[in-house]
Amino acid sequence: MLTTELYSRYSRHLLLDNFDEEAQLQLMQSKVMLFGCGGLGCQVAMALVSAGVGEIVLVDHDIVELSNLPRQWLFTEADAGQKKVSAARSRLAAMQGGCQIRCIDDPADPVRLATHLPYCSLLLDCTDSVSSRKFVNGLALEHKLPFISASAAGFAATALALNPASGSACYECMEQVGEHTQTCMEQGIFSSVVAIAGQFQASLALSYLCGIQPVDFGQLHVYDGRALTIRHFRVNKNPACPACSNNIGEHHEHIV
Amino acid sequence: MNILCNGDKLTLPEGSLLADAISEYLQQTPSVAVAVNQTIIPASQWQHHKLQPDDAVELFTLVAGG
Repeated sequence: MLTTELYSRYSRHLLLDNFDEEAQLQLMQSKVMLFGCGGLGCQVAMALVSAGVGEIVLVDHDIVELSNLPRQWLFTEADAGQKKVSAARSRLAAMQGGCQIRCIDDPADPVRLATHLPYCSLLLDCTDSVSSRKFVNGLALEHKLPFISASAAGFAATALALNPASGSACYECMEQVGEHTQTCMEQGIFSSVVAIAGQFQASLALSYLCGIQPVDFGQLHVYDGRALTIRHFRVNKNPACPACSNNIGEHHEHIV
Repeated sequence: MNILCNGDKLTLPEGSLLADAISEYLQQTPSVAVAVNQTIIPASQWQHHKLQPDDAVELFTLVAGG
């Protein structure tokens, strides 16, 4: 049961249709693992922690650079040179002191990942390359966890919720995600586009964690930041998928 | 038969394959996703997927940044 203080804090959630105290408590008991504290990760972490998620594990090996600041809104100029996970933890803890925030600054460390993965109910792929996305996909397959992936570059963004353990497609079922797939390093990134993608990803995550409405796993949402349009596509399980056709992840070949 | 390709009308012979409709576009864009009637078609099926009259083919570039 929510205390009076928590009831007041989350009162605007509780006013929503079909969002009751049980939904808020479910969110507060959730543990998630978030890969990548860049433009997407900052948005998703801020949204989830502010909304009341109970525990979040941040995974990123990078340090804060000045070129991050236009779109990575958890960080300030004073954070330049610090590890992203450390700076993010400080800012997120100030936003919601009740959230347990864990940091992993070596994504390739299987022991540290394995410590937390069995207790997570959702993975969030906020990474910035195909290889790191395949890595998270492999973990989701191995640990039979749902995950929500978003991406952005230039003026384009996508969001995609997947749950291969329950029969939906996995990230590699699309096949087209190859080495030529565009990234922010090559295409640049419009800061509001990555923010929209991150908040779309957060919206899917919060819906899933609260249980307030079913998440359509396998639905790819494609945002065009120039035309300001969004299109929706179905990604079906691919019998020839290299990652999930025999349900064996290939994540050991990839690093974040 | 007529289909729509990214919103533009395209006339193709009956029984055309998806690969026939998109071959020109693919030369310009190496990493593209293709959907027919809002369902993504994996690249390995482009050579086998027969198009039907009034199909809506959509191509878009995939991104991986974040």
